[in-house]
Amino acid sequence: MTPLDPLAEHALRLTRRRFFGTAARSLGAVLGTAGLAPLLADPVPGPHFRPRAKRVIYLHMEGGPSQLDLFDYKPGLRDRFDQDLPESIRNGQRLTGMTSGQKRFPVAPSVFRFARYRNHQDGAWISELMPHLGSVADELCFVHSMHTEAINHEPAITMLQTGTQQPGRPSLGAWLSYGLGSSNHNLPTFVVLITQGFGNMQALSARFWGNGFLPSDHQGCKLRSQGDPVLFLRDPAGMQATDRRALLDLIAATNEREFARTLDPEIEARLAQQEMAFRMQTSVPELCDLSGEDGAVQLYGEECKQPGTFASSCLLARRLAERGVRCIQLYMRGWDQHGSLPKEMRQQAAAVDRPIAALLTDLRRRGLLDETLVLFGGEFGRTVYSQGTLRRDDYGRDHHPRCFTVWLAGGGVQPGISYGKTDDYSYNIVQDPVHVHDLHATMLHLLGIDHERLTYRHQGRDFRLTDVAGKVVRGILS
Amino acid sequence: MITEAALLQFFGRLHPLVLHLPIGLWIGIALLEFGGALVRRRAATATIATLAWAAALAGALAAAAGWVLALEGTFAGRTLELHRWLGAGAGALGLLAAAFAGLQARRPFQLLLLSELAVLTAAGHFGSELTHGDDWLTEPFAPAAASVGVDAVAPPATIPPPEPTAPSTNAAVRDLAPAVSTPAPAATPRAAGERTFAGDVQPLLEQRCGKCHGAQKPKGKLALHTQEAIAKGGKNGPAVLAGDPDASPLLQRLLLPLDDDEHMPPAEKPQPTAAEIELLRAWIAAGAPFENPFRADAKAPPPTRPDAANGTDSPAPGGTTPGDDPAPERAPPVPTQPPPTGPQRGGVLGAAPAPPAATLAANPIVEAVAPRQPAAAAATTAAVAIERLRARFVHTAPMAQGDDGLWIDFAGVAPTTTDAEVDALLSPLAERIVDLGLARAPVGDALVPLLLRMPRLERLDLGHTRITGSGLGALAAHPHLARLVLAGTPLDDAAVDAMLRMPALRRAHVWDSGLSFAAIARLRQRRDLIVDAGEAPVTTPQELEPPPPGQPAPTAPAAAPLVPVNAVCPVSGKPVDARFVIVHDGRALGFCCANCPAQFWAAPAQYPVVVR
Repeated sequence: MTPLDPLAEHALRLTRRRFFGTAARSLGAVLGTAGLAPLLADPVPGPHFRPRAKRVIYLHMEGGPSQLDLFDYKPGLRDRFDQDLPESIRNGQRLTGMTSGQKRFPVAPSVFRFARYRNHQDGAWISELMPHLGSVADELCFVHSMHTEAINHEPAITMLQTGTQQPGRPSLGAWLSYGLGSSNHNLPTFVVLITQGFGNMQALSARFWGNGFLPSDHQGCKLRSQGDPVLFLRDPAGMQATDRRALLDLIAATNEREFARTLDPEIEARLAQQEMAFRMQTSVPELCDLSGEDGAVQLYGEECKQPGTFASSCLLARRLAERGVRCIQLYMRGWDQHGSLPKEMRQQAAAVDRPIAALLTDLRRRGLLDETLVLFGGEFGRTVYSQGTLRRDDYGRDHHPRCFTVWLAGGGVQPGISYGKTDDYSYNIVQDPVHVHDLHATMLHLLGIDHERLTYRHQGRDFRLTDVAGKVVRGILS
Repeated sequence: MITEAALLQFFGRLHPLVLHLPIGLWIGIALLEFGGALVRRRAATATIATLAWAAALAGALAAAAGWVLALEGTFAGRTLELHRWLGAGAGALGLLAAAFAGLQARRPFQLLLLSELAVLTAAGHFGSELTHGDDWLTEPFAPAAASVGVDAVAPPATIPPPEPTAPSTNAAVRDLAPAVSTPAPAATPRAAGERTFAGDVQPLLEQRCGKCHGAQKPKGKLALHTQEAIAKGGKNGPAVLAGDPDASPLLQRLLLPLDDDEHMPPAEKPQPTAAEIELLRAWIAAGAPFENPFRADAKAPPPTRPDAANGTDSPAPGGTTPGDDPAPERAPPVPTQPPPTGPQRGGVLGAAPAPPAATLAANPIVEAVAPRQPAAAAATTAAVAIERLRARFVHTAPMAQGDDGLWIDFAGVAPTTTDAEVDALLSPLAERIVDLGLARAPVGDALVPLLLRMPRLERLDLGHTRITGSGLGALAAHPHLARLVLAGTPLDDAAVDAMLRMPALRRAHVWDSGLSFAAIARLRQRRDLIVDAGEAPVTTPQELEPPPPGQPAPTAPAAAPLVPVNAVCPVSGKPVDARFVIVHDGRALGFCCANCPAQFWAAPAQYPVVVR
């Protein structure tokens, strides 16, 4: 046995796990906690502590929506229209190649008017783009002080989804699937829904919901918006469900023999996925059948019955949450407003505003919101200065990782508050900065996981979602 | 094949080998250090330092090995804890003492040396108590009768007299006395051949098993000294399966070949006689009665108890259910039902998912390390019930690690669930359920008796089920129910009375539930309860940004709010909040909160309006 043989390593891991499994059981008895032992023997030992949320709905606004035009209200900027961004604010910080050559950096105040909505503090200022969201502002916890290192989409999304800028690590949903397991074994643990946007759209790689080095059954499952939600789920003509079952049983028997011989974890993953696919043949059509959802139209809007819209994704998200899916991720593409920001953002916001408010209301009245963590945010923010020509009613904004706004709602999050502050230009954070790692640590915390203890050994070291950083943001916990 | 686990185990078992080394060395060092006064010559500090380092390292090794050995789980309890920590302390103290000896700091070294000796003595004492029992030294002086069930619960009349062949005070001699140890028939009147637990079985267990499976030292977590302890079983589950001697691990272990590692009592200990084993067999075959007498010579088929397979820790014998198949996990997969590979995968915090048990057993590497368990001792009731739930794809997970409360959710299978199935699946676990999700399942009031047996229940999701107000009425006194989801249920207003009485209720979701407005209003009178009746959110902003210069004044996005005629809320007397305005009798009336308007509507005459 060579020390680097991965199969032998896996076999070793199995035996080691068996040993420490027994060890932990007797340890439990030693510590005098009666009744703990059977749980430690359990294949699902449960979260580290009692969770505040059982699942996540992550609304990712891909492209980086402008915090200045949605949630980070800077009334003082109106008087600074077309003035140069003071050097004391920019402080030599790096820019993208798209604006680093600009001669000047003229301040572009938001063209949109803001309104103050009731929350549990002195109100939340939200731009006219999101009136429906404003109506549920007392459920939202705004974090105005998010920051990240990455300045371009690909690394920044990778950072938000996997905790590092380089591709290859497991995504948040895969970690949750690995750590907490599924609560509906007829559907994937991690489901991804994608909506095409109206603005500039960046590549959206499947690795954003990939499993990285975790066993591959933890990867996100994308439901398609057109045609069959999952390809090849339908049996071909002439094939009966019993035939399919017999076929799968035969393949499974062969695979199990091979697994006993090689202990390759990917064989197990394969087996699990085949069984999952078999069950999805009935569960996915039932999931996507909206015939009983006539009442939803009132709430989500007419377009919720039209597959592929953000409204229909939100409605599906609620149905997935009801069915116990752990991690539901909605991507809304097209938030990359380098130019024509006022026009594009109107379209983008109109597509998401009402469905998101509807989703929150729908979850709340079904008693699901207080155990579902909802997160809304992009991969970074946008600059206060205009990219390209600045006009009163037209401008663009470049990428800005130094500060951006996300909001959370639901399970365990303090409702109706704002956390963190940016300076008058929404350029730097002046109070309570929250790094992506901190956000991840907080989300895991709400789901009952100590982010420092959810690890997976790969290539000789233990990996975490939060790498070697991350602090739980206590200020936003309820 | 040498695995890391085996190496670790090997290392742990070095503990008894090395532990005497530091003891001897430290005593020697103490003699060198303090004995100098007797011979009027001091030992060289270099000698002492060298020996101190040797002792310290040996001590650290012994402590580390001991720690690992403890993981094997042979011992448990307070004595082990004391030994473990004292041993670790002795190891640490020793290292410290050696360091000071090396630095030639005489005073601190002497102090540390004395404390080391004290801690070592204590650690050694508890260690020997673990291996030899706490009566090792005192036993020779104890009267023989004292070791046969004096502290047993049996009344004095049924305690058998001391065995005639064992008047000796030497316990070893007594235990080795042959054959006659089946207790003589007691003086109490009973039919010939009739035996009792207290009179016959208990003394036997006490004598043959009590030293290692008694109150003092329940090895393998198994104690056999009381009825409760026997019912509880050990770490591998119950040792006695009433009515089924052949499947009872207690008897299986007795009957294993003497050289088998699993054989009990251990080969070097006194063995029970054939007659004693037959007595135990007869007792178990008769259903392991604790009160009633049983016949030892009966060869008739033993009466089987329906709840026998449930394990003996289920207190209610009446709960026989169709799902009580004793070995559901051994059932072959039904062709249309996929094998539960899904539920077994994923969700392993901190460890990769365990492969299915079948593949594990088929793997020679794993088998070598996996503890061999008697087949029948496989699972406790709870483990079987949880396995059954998972096989049915019902989500079942502990609330948290180290918390035996359960979150059980039927979300994945709700539409195909029935009252009877939920009842059968959950009955064995009812006392542990903290969070129960039944939303969208076609279940209803028939489940209420089951819910009443869940004292720890905190959250109950009955959304879109068929629960009714009268069904809910029975839950009115539930002590811990804090969150209740009733959205989409056919409730009637009687449900409100129940919810008003539930002592711990803090949040109720009653959207679309058939409750009338008046009923919801009545529910809202409860101040410590958040009632979510599914209202649409308030859409009007509190304030608008002023328009940019040169642009027309904006109109509010929503219609201008009504201006109330009153300044104080007619119900509460608090200042009016402009968001809570209703039109009543042609006037706009303001209230302080969302709850007051409903109360006002219920009886407008009771609340006079003060017009400002």
